[in-house]
Amino acid sequence: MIDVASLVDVKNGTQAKSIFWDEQIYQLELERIFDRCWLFITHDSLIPNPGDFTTAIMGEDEVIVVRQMNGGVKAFLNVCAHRGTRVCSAEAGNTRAFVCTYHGWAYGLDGTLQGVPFENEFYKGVLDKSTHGLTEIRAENYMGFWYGNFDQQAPSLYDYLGEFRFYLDVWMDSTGGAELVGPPSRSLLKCNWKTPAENFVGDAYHVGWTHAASLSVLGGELSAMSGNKMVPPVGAGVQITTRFGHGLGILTDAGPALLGGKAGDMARKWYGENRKKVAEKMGKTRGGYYGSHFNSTVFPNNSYLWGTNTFKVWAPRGPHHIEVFTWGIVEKNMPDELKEAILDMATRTFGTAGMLEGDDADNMESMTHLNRGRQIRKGRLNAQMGLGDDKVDQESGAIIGPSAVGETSYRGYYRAYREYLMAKDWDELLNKDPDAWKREFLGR
Amino acid sequence: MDALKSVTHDIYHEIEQTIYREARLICEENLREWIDTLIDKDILYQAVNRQLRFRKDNRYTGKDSTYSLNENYYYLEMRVRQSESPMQWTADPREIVRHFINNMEVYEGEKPGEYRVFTNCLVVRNRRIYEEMTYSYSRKDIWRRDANGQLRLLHRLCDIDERFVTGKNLNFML
Repeated sequence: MIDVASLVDVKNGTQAKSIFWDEQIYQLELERIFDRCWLFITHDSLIPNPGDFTTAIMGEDEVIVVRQMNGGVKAFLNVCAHRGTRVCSAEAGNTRAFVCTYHGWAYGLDGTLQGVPFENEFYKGVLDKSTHGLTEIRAENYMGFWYGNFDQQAPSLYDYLGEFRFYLDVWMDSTGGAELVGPPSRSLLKCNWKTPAENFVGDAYHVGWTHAASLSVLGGELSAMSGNKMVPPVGAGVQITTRFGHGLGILTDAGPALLGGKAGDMARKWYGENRKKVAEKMGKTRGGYYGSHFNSTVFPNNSYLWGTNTFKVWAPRGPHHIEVFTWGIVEKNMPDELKEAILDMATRTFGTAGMLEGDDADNMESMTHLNRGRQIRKGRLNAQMGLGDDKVDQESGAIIGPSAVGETSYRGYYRAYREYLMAKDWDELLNKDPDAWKREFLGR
Repeated sequence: MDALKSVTHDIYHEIEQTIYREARLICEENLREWIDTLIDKDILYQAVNRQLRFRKDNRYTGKDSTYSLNENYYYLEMRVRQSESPMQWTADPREIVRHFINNMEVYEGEKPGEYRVFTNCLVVRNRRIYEEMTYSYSRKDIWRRDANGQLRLLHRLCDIDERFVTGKNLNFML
């Protein structure tokens, strides 16, 4: 029996090592997190026209996301209702129907079962086509970013994001929207899904050391941090965490820092030109955040860096492996030359041959696999940096750690993680004072 | 498809030996000598990963490929410098990257002194205690002679076979 409550000590900012290893905990995560939370599936820009589709993975379930004839979007499990084969083997495309390769059952874009070969001759009225369509999944979008959810009780995506929207809007809505650029690259990492998710949500601390070599050769503003030569000054940034576990770190004005050269210059110019308009639209605080570097995770396993502009899903394949999906992100109204330059650098730094991405693998893999040792997995993980400094931000409703480097967002990510694992269902999660999480987090 | 003009035995042999020597320099971690003696300053070094599409789909408008590597000389040399840094923790202890190169075809290039070279590559990469990874890909190269007659790589396109890269990353000279 897992003692779920003890997996995370919210007050002291520690977590049990076993969360990166244990198969039973993983199964509980699939049931209470991946079966309940909003999971990233696609973006409007990848399925613009009727009949367009992309595939995705939610938890360990393969799904198809389809643009409907009427312009809506539906998502389905990628499994035939007959004997359970995969319906669609392509990753993306445009089609009029999905035809299973086994017996030829054909499904419409809306998932209904349209054609069954020799239906009259062989089924003679026994088969009820209306109950044998593709299983549909709740799908909602925020600013064109589509997420799926297996749980009918879950709040809307809008409410799930909650106070986190305040920060997403800084790049998703500031100058007319953002777009996701595909196709994704796909690669294996032999680590628990939470090890990169926690790193992206709150780890500015590792940047100077893990990425020492890549930063030193890339140049740019962050190269000053290479090898920990320099402590980030006061006011260099903040860390944020929210009710449902989403969080980010903001490095002030450092958006273009990893772009370097011409791409960096063009990006700085773009942010400079637009900052005043963004401040007028969104207020002074967010005008200040515009053009900064964000490292972030949408709970549970969708991460991104804004400024560097890489967008990730860490899809779990058991407790010790993940499939890494990598896309690029840009603001829709950026000039084409700027988009190309940013995407080029996003791939160079965080693609499958990413100069920085490759630096992190050993850390995440050993964090996971060392726990095959019974003694090692008895221990605790420490996320105490900045403990006691966090406070509520009145403007956004989030909790802020008032420094660039700390572990605020880790603590908030795992507070929510524990709450999901302990709750029977969404009713239990929502049937609380909406500010209770802040008191729990701040220990008062 | 443009006509492929064969080359002499001597030229084939010279290119073959150059390609093997290139692989040995990479394996011996001698990327500085590699980039100094075998790479043209106008180099474009690319690796492409392709999304799976239905063959007959001609309506979808999205891009179907992404370049994991798309390096000119400046960025290629940056990667060489990264590998030389004593702070590249992933390379300490050292990795071993071993190329097994086969199926080499050599043809005249579009300009005199240029050669088109097709090969299949299998790379076995060993690192740390337990990690052995393999990679299978094709190379389409263009090599050209510099002012001293030395063959240098002008363009390389590595077409990565695996859709889901089980070797974790492509952080080595392909």
